[in-house]
Amino acid sequence: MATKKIVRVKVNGREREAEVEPRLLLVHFIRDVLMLTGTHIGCDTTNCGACTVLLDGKPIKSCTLFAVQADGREVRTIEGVATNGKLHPIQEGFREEHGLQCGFCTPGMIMSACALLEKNPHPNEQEIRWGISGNLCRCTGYQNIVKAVQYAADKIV
Amino acid sequence: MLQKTSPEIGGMGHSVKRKEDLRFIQGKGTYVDDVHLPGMVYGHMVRSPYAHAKIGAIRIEEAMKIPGVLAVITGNDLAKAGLAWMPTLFHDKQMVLATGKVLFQSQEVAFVVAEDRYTAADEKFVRQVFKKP
Repeated sequence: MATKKIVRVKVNGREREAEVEPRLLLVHFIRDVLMLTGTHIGCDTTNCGACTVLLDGKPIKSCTLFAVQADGREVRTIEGVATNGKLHPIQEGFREEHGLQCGFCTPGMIMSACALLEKNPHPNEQEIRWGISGNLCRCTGYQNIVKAVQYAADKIV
Repeated sequence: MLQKTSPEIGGMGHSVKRKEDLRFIQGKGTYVDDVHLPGMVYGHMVRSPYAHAKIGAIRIEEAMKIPGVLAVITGNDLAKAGLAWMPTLFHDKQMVLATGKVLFQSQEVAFVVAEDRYTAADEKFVRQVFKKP
């Protein structure tokens, strides 16, 4: 077992620090060390996108990154999307357009949608579908997820 | 014209907001994987990297010396209890954990229980189980 390393990551605006094994995955760091369980593990193989978080604003699948690789960087998770108890327009969209059933893929979907709308505030349907193409939904609710992102895009203006 | 009933008397023809959505869209759901109980430990299945291979001596005492390892269960352990081969719905019998040799890749060979998931899933166990192919 390799020696532990100190990792400092800014998570949802708050500086967090922990001593972790170098082999610890970022998603386990987020879920088990920081206890932010909103980020899910769906497949463990970088297929499903349930573990998507924003690393320095870019969507990444946190089961594919080691926690030590996030050292000195900024992570945003689903817990940091709403501000002061007010839902983000994307979250509102998922609720209004019935963009979820079981909700397991939802945090990852929302993070991917966040990244998409930050880069492209007015995507067309094709661009939305491309934007969430790294996220799988097994309730097969893509139609309503696209509507949810469109709802948010219309609202953000 | 289609008459809609009021939500108060059943809401036929209305869309209804789901009560559970609010927590799911904020990452506040509690899925099984989110549950942490005191004394909870982790299990991991050691699977064969080979399609056909003899199982070497599983040095359980040595594996148990790894800090955090609580138990290593093998096919031999199950055999002692008469549980190594179990009937299936197809009226045949199949190995639960392999005894002697494995017959397909990713066949279950041993089950490791440890205090954390990384210790349980450590590559060391695979190396301990198999001789060279």
